[in-house]
Amino acid sequence: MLFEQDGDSPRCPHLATTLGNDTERRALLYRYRNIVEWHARKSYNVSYPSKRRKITPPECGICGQTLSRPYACLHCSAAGCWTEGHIKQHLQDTGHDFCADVNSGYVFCIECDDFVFDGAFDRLYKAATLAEEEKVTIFEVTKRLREPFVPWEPNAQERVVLQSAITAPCQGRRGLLNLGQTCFMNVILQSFIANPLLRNYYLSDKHHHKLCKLNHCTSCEMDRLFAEVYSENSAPYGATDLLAKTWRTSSELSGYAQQDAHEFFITALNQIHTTSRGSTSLQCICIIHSTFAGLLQSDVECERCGTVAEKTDPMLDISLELKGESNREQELTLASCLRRYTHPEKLGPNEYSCEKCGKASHASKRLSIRKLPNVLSFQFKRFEHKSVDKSAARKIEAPVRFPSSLNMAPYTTLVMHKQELSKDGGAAPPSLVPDKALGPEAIYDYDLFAVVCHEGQIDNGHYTCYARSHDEWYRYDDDKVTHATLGACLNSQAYMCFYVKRHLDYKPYVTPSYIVLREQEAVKEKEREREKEAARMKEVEDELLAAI
Amino acid sequence: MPAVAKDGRASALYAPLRRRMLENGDWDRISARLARELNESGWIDRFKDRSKEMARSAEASGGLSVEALIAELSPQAEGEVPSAVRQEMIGVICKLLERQIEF
Repeated sequence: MLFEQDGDSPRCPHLATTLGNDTERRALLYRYRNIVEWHARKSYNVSYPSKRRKITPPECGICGQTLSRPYACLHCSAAGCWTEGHIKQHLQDTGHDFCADVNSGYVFCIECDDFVFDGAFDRLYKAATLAEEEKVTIFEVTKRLREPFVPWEPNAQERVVLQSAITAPCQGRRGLLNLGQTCFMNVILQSFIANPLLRNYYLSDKHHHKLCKLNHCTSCEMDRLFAEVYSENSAPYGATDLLAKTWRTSSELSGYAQQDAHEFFITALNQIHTTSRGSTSLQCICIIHSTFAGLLQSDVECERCGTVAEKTDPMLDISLELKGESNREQELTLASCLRRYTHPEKLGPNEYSCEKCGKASHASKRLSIRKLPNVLSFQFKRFEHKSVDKSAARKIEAPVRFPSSLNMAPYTTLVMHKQELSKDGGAAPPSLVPDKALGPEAIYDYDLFAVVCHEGQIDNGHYTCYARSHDEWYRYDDDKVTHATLGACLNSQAYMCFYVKRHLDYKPYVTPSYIVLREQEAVKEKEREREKEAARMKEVEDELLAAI
Repeated sequence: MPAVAKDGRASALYAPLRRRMLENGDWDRISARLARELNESGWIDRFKDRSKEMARSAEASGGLSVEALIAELSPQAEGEVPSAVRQEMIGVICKLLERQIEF
């Protein structure tokens, strides 16, 4: 496989030898795959228990203990416990080299006396786990299963192109020059650069600034930005054109005063949306909406007659209140903010009039997320504006704890409705997702990739951000980029957090619209050529006839 | 593994109880719940960071094996489980056992 070269990662020499032998390699990977599949199926069955199905956990080959955390030999069917050292004993006794921790898929080499990482096992683990998840995800609308994921392999033509391509060394990380209090813009741009969906869109030339015919196109500026960042030049970049375009289109953001990063975020999203392909006012499929748009549902229940009025609104991000936390002892966390956000809120008697019973009544309103976006953006409302005058606002300094990975199932409409129907807590609720049809849990998982931080006061503060590149975190302070740690990022005072969905949802077996359009265009082009040719032939004939 | 009480009845019950919990999935469900609680309290991220940085700083001097890392961090990990989470999980386990054993 062209892309899956592991030349750089240090490899266990014993693994290298074994994987080098075709028969041994196949046997090893086959056994490993079975182990991963067994574990995935078991985890699923545990979440949706049925009386008919009993799990048969393996027993340690040496002490007979039922294994809660089994380690499986990769050469034979032996299993053993780790804490008593029995699996290691098995490896030593039999001369087998490798075993795997069934829960995590990590491989242990007895010769190295350590766990070893290898790309082949890592890829197989992910592929096998995903394949099992696909089998249990049913699409609500079509009742079909998910289309199985197939990793991309270049075909013969593409291979030729790739071999002749020039590889440019680049980090994909560049600082952004502060052009006069523009740190608010820089942090949002860094979050865009770290955004995998935006990055893929622009790097795959879906909006090429040299081909675009629009004037003052912000999408073109984004294309230029990505080209600059993914270039050999690693010196800080000054996004002057982008800034100028922003000033031109949004007068509130112009001038050299400090602005609010969140305001810039929303403004930038709208600007890119209007200048991108597929942009419509309803059900837009432009890159911005495909990436950031979700649906918020509000259910208003009339307390008099019990009817529930459902209303959905599109949203590009979620703004969470921080003030009013009655219990000062409790730490503020993203989860507690989300719980508050989706908690029923009492509406006063004059705030709502029920359609069914026709009178102004007491009602309760509950928000939930109907449709999850691919990139989830959170804003913590730290700035309380007391009046129109911005300088009179107060900043809430309290830190909010947020996780590096987040499961959004409890805050989605369908899951919340299901939980209301089955009001039993139970000793241990089987899963975050109460109904098989709404699962598996993994489709609600999100991973943090960027955090915007604000230090100081409202009008005299500074924005910095943390962004993740694969598994490493970096701190961006305008033009200064430094290697940081997950801990440093999570301990910072966050203003905005960006999470990306781990598994994207696709309609199964559908040709992407841009390919359909491309084919239609190709057919039209051929038609046009034929007509031109026919017209030319006609001209020649006419000339000949005239000459005769 | 937690220390098992030395009195006869408890230690005799432990193995079959454990087996039953593993067979009907209770063990894994409680384990998953514990993982969720620990993630929400920031414990998982804290130890993900600590172990990664510990391994990184040991690279220069030959590196640290996973077992050495676990040995080094386990006491901290056990000690830093928030008491609220600990109490909650003990409660969950007690409730489950009450249904299965006659005391």
